[in-house]
Amino acid sequence: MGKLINGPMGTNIGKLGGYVSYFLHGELVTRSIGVIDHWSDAQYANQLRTALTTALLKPVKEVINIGFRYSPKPKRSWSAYTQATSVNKKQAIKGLYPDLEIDFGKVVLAIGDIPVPLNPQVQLSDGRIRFTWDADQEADGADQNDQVMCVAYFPETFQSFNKLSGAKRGEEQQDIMLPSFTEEMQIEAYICYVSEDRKRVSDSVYLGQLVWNKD
Amino acid sequence: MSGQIGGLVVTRWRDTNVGKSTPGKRKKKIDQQLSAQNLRLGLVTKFLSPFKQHIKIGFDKKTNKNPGFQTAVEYNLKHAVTGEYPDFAIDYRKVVFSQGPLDMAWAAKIALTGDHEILVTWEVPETSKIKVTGNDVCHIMLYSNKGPRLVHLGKLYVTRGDLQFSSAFSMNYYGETLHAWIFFSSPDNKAVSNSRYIGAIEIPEKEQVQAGG
Repeated sequence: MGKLINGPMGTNIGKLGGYVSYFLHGELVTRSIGVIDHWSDAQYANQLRTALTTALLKPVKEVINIGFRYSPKPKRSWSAYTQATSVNKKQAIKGLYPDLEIDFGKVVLAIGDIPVPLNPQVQLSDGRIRFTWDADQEADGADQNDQVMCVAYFPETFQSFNKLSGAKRGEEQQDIMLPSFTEEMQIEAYICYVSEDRKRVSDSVYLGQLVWNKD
Repeated sequence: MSGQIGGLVVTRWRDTNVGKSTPGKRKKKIDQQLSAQNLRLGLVTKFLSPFKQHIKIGFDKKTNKNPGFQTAVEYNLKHAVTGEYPDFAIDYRKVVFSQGPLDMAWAAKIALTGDHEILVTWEVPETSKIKVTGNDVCHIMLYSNKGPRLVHLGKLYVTRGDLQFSSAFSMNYYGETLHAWIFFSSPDNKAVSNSRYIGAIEIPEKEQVQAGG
């Protein structure tokens, strides 16, 4: 796909020959038309990466819409979701085609300039996940009204529990209650700060994997 | 008009009349890989057939050119078949009847309350916005592989917020093991959740019931 500015046949919009031109995000672009029935291995690999990233991000869309809302983006037309896809597709997938896997330790759910939670820990007991951290009120950029956002992600079923409005920085503890135990599940935990007006966030921090195997 | 005339077959597919040529005779013998695939496909199709109504809700996407049932067969063929040729079997835990972005059922349990009555319960996690998700419609499928057939449950309109579903069913399932799955759909039917396997219940033999009863 390429941008044609008054050439080679003047500014054309619509189908002409094997090509179609149209405005996209305020720019005139042209691409070829055709039906593709097979792709190269490298293209399949890329398609699988995209599929994995989409499946990964769907349950945490609401977290990403806050976490990537005000982060600096390469293009103005990019939304929070677009940037999240870009970042995670590049960083959070490991392995070689066809054995591509998500690397949960590298998943990014927020980018921002509030300092990250200090000494964040996560523990699973008594049917609840407990997130703890140190308040660190004196840090540059910290505000006592900052709240935490906590995510408990279930990789096997692509579901997640998102706590968008968690405890304040000073409370140093946030629980997510789990439903009754039915079967063993893995849980990946993440935490980040968000300012009271939701205009600033911290980078997200991966807290590790928990195994839920009893109540 | 539908039927076969010489080398031509006329039939109706999805609201249009289509004509196809009759298939040629097979020249090569079927090798093991192909017959394994045929076995697997037959197994999955036969298993999914009774669930067609639910699959229509769970898998029908307007952007797909294939009907929902075909997508469901394709997916389950890839994920829900276990075993080695020629002993293929369906892994009930891995069968999928619906795919979608809605919250799935958590902590779903099924119990037999009486010899032909079931009670299914589930929970809503605290992070779920129950005012919105509470209105999602619950779909329960109870299946007997002896039939194979779906157990007909009462037509109840149960929502996620009700947290339970109880229904009586007919008395024809003595001595059978019934498997249950659950999924939710939004009230306007535009979105569904992923389906989950709840578990299996054993219906005691008729003599046991009558003796106990």
